[in-house]
Amino acid sequence: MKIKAIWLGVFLMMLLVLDGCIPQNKATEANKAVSSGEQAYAVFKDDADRQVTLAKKPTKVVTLSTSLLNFVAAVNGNLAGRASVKAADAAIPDQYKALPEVGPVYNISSEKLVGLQPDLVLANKNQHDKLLPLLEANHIPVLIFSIKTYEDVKRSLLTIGKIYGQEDTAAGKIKEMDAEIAATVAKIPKQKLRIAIIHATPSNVTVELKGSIAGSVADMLGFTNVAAEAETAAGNQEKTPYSMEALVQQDPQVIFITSMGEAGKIEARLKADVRSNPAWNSLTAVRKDKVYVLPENLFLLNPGLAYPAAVKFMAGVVYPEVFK
Amino acid sequence: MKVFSRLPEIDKTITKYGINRKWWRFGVLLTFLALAVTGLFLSIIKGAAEISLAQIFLILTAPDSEPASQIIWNIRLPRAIVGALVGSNLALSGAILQAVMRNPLADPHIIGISAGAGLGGIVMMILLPAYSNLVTPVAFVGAMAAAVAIYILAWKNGIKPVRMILAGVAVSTFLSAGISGIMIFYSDRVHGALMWMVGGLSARSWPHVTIILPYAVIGLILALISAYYLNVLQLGDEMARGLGLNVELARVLLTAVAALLAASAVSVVGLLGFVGLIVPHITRLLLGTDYRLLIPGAALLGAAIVTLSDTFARVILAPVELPVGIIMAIIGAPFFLFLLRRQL
Repeated sequence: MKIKAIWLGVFLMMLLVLDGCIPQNKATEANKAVSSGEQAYAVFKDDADRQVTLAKKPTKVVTLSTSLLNFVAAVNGNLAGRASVKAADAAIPDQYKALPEVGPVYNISSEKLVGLQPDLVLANKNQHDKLLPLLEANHIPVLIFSIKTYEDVKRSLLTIGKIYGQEDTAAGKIKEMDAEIAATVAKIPKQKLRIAIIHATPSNVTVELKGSIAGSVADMLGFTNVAAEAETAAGNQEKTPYSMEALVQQDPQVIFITSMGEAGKIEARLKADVRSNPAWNSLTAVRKDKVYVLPENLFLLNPGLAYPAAVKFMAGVVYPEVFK
Repeated sequence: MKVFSRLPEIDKTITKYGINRKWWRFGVLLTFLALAVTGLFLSIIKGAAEISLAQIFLILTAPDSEPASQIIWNIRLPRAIVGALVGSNLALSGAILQAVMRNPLADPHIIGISAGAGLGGIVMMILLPAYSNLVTPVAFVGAMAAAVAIYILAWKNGIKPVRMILAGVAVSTFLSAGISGIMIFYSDRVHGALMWMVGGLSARSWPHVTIILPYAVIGLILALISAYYLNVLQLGDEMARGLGLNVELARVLLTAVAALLAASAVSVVGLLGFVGLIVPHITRLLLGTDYRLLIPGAALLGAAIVTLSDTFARVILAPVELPVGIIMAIIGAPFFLFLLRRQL
């Protein structure tokens, strides 16, 4: 008898779990009503493949990351709230300094966020996905951005321009960036430099590919990534663990390391690390001292609108004589 | 020694395969040795770069500065040695702990080695990357500190294995919270730390060999000497005391040997799981519970499994490399379950 009761209890609990799994997406239903009923202000397909419909022009926008905040600044948009930043990490444009904060980018306080009652939230893929169900349940529209390559930057800037009705400003800014990058590329010698980009630490070999920031910058400069053959058919891969001996065989002319932490101190350490390790020392680039450290603000965290600066930085370390 | 006067009788018994148990054990040990040698050999001849056997032989006898020679001498050879030593250290550590704790689930995790080394390594890698050259020593200190802390916390008129295991779980959980915290607050820098958590032999070279070699040699010798005490401890505290063993002292010393073996291994390659738990069990299933055979058996099998798995991990998707820990778990876990079902 008792056993039967337990069976029944377990069964009921399983039903409860299943019930929780069925999406109860009232927000999407609400959006549907808007799109079918009257003319919506704008419809977006975001980087998480979600369709987001804005019924009217948003007036209370909250950004959950600093790079997105800079995009809004570029189109002179208004904000109702922003993520908190450590002073050392990034400068906040003056007009946004006094805005209410919703916690650090990797640990947004959902209470504060919902408390601001935004009519649009700009969020990062992977970092803020977990907030989605909550925001949707509160009928707060969310646009998810995934910004890695320069193409991503341009697309996102256009999207944010559209939100504020500032498409022209966005297009103008893009033209400016394109011109700046083209100027840098024009200056460097037209040789297909063979390079490899090591992610973060030489204590294991992880190479960055075209989908990464440093990888896409190298691509723009016309460098050949020796690890490109490791790219899968899927294409947009960021990084992969790689064979040290394959690196030795490919013999890249230049090695970049994307660093974590303050570039100045780290640079000396990373260089000493690769030189003291016989495996790394098997590489010609290491023996010839062609190892360059890429700072995290431009190459590990997303540079966003600073992409032209990242392109210039990479070109500058390889060809210092051109960029005096 | 009285306990083992009965061993020769057991040796005369016949296994279910109709082989004399003595010969069976000899054969198993020999197979382990062959596997370890094969593992080392394959580690040196196989890789992402195609180098012919004849060329490798030439390079080994007369090194030069060509890329092929660099690959063999500075990449494959030291990596194979590190892999073998790490495998042997972890397997020995697990084997010792399983006897000391009299618990089949004991492994280097139990005495906080992984959590201690993990926290130490991650603090250096993520919070203080300017001192990344200190990752190995700090991880080692972290591992030993965790082990000592667990020992002190579990001490109450001596050590009871169950209390020690529970103290280990508590301390490990505490330290893991620190690891998770750092990984969340520095989510941009997590990748390097992740590779460390999985454990791998990528970019390991001669400096790592020199770090781990002394521990491996001394540890193996101590483990071989300890075999008798490990056998006695398995009989239970009462019986062991009856045989004149100072149980508390033996436990402290043997745990210290296990901690040093595991700490030296994880501080060099990261938190390589699995070997410390499964290899002693596989060895026990095939060789029996006599630690005089189990110690050399586990050392050889540990070396074999890590070198073979690492070769596989390097070659299967070359030039992309998989962390060896993943391969070991994928191949090893089903094999272990197979042995378990067969109940050899």
